[in-house]
Amino acid sequence: MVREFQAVLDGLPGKPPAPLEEYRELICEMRRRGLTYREIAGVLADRFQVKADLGAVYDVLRGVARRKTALPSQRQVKTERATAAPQPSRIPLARPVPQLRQAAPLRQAPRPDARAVRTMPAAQPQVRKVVEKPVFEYDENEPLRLTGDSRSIE
Amino acid sequence: MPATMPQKRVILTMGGKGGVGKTTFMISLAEWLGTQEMAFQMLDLDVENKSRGSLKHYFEGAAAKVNIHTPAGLDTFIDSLDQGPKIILADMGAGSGQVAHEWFDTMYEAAEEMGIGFTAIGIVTADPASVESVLSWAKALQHKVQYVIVLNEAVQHADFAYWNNTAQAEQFRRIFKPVVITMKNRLADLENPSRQHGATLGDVATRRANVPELEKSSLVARAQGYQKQIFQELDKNRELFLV
Repeated sequence: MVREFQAVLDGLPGKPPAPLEEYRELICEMRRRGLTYREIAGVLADRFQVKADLGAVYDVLRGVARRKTALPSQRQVKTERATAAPQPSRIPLARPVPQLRQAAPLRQAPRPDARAVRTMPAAQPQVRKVVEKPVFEYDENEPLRLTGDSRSIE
Repeated sequence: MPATMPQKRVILTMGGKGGVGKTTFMISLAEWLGTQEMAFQMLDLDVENKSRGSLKHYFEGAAAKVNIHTPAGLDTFIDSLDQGPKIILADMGAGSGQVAHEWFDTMYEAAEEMGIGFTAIGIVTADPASVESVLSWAKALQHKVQYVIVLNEAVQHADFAYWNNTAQAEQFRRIFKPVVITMKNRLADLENPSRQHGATLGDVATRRANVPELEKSSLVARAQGYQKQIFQELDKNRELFLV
């Protein structure tokens, strides 16, 4: 490379890390435990005074999902939907994060994210109130059935 | 759907049946939104309709063409709302059902948590296939969206018997309680040259079309009438189109 160009490149400041990058493992673990994006943002604000909107949390998780799908070993994992069109990022997020609790860095050099993971109750049951809504059932193979007067009523 | 108004909204056509008037309605909706002093982004997701008749044809430069048949699929909804206006008008093409349904299966929860609400537009004509298309989409989307049904009087005295008097459509209405809007039959002398030249109703109504055959006073008056009618319908149901 031309020396002048190299000098310009050397003089450029390094790209700052993404704001939530250091909390990535914590965010993934919280998501795995079923916390909503809003609840995750709440934990980050309460415990670490990190202001994060839902989109930023989503970006972190999406980034993780994209990294996972880029790994050749991950591509070999067959799922029920393997023949379907490529899926957006939520599929990998639903998978358990193996060995996160046994990961050496978390034990040897505790970080904010590791502390938070320990203090959270494991496998918290979902407490959302789900209002049952009627399911719309429709059989595409069955022709539309006219009932009574077939003239327009509108 | 959440009881509160969403912070952001995606308004999408349920694009199953081609040629029923999806883009025609979306053009009017876009013009109405333009009167509401609300910024919005138009996405033309109709990969089949390449030139004339597509949203991009009418709003060159303002409507972004998006290919939904990519791994990220409809993530464009989220990214566009993240970076731009809080309302998206998404004109889905015929045959976009599978991609859209899979996207809702995997991404709806995240989108909902981000405060995104969805309004799904189903266009119904006298053709029973148009009703079947709406019902197929509803089976896939269930309560993830709020439904607006547009009865498109594509012909004079259109008979919507398959919408009004079939057991399946009745079940749909009972469960989802959709808002129903009527789009009046439009004169062919106005509709055809408008499509040919990519002129909207608003263009004709305000003599901005710059097309000689659309400058006849009678057609201008017709365009004004059609626009007024559809705007009144949209005004009555504004909460389904705004944030």
